[in-house]
Amino acid sequence: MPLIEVRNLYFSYKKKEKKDYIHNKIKSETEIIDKDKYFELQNISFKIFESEVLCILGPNGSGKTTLLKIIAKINKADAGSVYLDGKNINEFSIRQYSKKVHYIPQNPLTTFDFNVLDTIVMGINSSLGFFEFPSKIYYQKALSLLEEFGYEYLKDKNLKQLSGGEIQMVFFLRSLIDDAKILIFDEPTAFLDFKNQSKILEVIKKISKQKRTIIVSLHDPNHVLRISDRVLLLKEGKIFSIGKAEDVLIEKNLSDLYEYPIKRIKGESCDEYFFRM
Amino acid sequence: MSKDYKFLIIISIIGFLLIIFLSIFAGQQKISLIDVFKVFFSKDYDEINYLIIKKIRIPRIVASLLVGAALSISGAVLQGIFDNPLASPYLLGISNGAGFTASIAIILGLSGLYLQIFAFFGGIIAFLLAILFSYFFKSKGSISIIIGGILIGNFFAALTMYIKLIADPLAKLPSIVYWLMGSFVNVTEKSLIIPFFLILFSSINLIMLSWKLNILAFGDIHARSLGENPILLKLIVLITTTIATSAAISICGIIGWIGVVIPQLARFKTSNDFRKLLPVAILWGASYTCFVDSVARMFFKYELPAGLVSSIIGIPFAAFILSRRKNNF
Repeated sequence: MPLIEVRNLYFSYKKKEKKDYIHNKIKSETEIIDKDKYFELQNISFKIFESEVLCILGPNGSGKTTLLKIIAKINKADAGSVYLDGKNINEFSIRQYSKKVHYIPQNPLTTFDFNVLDTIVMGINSSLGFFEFPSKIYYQKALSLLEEFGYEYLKDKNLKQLSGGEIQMVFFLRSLIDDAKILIFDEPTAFLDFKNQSKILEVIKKISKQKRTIIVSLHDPNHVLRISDRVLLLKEGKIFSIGKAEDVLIEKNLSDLYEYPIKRIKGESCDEYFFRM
Repeated sequence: MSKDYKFLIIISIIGFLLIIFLSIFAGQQKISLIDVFKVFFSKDYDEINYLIIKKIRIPRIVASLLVGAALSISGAVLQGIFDNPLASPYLLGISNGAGFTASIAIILGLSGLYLQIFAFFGGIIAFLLAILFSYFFKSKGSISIIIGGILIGNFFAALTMYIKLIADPLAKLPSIVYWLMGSFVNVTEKSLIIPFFLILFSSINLIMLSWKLNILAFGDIHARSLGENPILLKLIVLITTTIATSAAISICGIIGWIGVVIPQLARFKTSNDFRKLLPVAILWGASYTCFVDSVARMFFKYELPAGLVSSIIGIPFAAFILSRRKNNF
C-alpha cells in the first residue's frame, strides 16, 4: 500500500473561477478537464511509497510549491484528495497531521530572530499541550542532533547570524527532532553555494536511510540524480512524467520540460552521467 | 535561564520597586519619608497625608502599573504575531473606538464606572468590527486585519471629531479632550477592581501562551507545519490583548507610545523569545508608566495628561535607543 496517494488533484489561486468550477465539477468529472487552463494544478495523481525519496522537478511556476503545500495540508485542494495511510488528510487535525508530516518552506527565515536551539525544539510543538513549554529533554535532543550532523558550533547562535546553508540545516534538524515519518522540503538548495548544496543533498541522503519518506522539490536534474529513488516532472501544473530517475531523466524529457536543449554527458565511470545545458 | 537574563530581571525588579517607592512622594503636596511611614505603620498620622497617600497616590500608582503592564505586553505580543516591529495595541482601532464611546458617555453626562464601561466596550466593539471587516476582504491574513483595524479606527476617529464639534465647549469639550489625552486624575480605588482582574487574566494567559507565540512569530506556514492552527491561535491572542488594552484605556484614556516603545526596548535587551520578552515587557511597561505619571503630577503647577508626558519623554528616548541599535530587528 502506498504511504501517500494523491488522487485527481486540482488547485487554483483564482477564487472566483474556482467557485464556478467546483460547482460544475460536482455535475460531471469530465467537464472540469476542459477548463483545465484555470488551474495551477490539474488532475495530479501519483503515489509515494514508504522510505523513498521522491524528487519534484519542473520549471519556475510549474506548481511544485503548490503541490507540496497541498500534501503538507497547508493549502487545500479544490478537487481531488490526498490520502495518508489510506485515510483522507482532511480527516486529520492539523496537530495530528504535523506529527506525521513535517514541511519546511522555501526561505524559512522571518522578521524576528530566534535562537538556534529554540528553533530546532519548535519541531516537537505538536507533542506539547496548549499551555505547555518544552522541557530540557528536548533541548538535549536538539543539541545531540546538532552534534550528530556536525553543527555543534551553532548552538549558541541566532538564526540571523547564520549563513544560508546553516539556516537550512537548522530547519532540517527541526524536522528531525519529532520523528515525523514524512518530510517535505521545498527547494532546500535554493540560494546556496556549491558546497552547501552538496552538504544538503548528503544530509537528505542520510535522513532517507533512517526510514523516513522524503518529498523534495529541486531545480537541478543532477541533484535529483544524486538523491532520488523516483522523480516527478511537473510542467504547467500537470504531471509530465513520473518514474525511476534513470527512466525519467533522459535528454528528451528534460529538453521538453524546460523547452531548452539539455545534453546528457557521460561521467568518468561507466554508469555515471550528468546533464548540461 | 542564562545569567544575563537573570541579572536583567533582578535589575528590572529593583528598578520597578524603586520607582513605586519614589512615586509615593511625587505630587504637589510634599510629604516627608517619616510621614509616609506614619501613614502606613502607625496610628499617629496626619489625616490629609493619609487621604493623599491612600486615596490618591496609591490608587494612581496601582493604576499606572496596570496600564503600563497591559499596554506593554499587548504591544509586545502584537508585534510578534503581525510580524511587524511597529505594531501597537491601538493598531486595531481599539483606542479610537473607546475614544468615541467615552466621548458619548461624557456628552451624556456619565462619569466614573459608566464612563469606564462605555470606554471598555467601545474598544471591544471596534476590535470586533475590524475583524468582521477584514473577513470580507479578498486577501486574507494578518495584513487584512491590520487594514480593517486602521479603517475602523479612522472611522471612529472621525465620529469622535464630530462629537467634539458639537460638544458644549465649556462644560463638556475640555473633559473629552482631557480624556483622549490620557490621564490618571480620575482614578479611584473602585475604578480599578474590574480592570485589575481583566488585565491579570490577560497577562497570565499571554505568558502561558508564550511558546505558541514564538511559533506564530515564524508565520502562518511554519505554524501550520508545526501543528498549530494560526488563525485560531491569533484570534485567541487578539481577543486577550484587546481585553487588556480596553481595560487599560477604561482606566485612564488613551496613553500613547507605551505599547510601541517599551516592547521594542525589551525586545532589544532580551530576545524575540516571548518566554523571556513578556516578563521584562510587563516590568518595564509598568515602571515606565508609573514614572510618567509621577512626572505628570510633580513638575508642573497643573496636572499634565500622562499621555502627553509619555510621548514627550518616550519618543526622543526611543529614537536615541534605536539609533544605537546595530541589527535591524
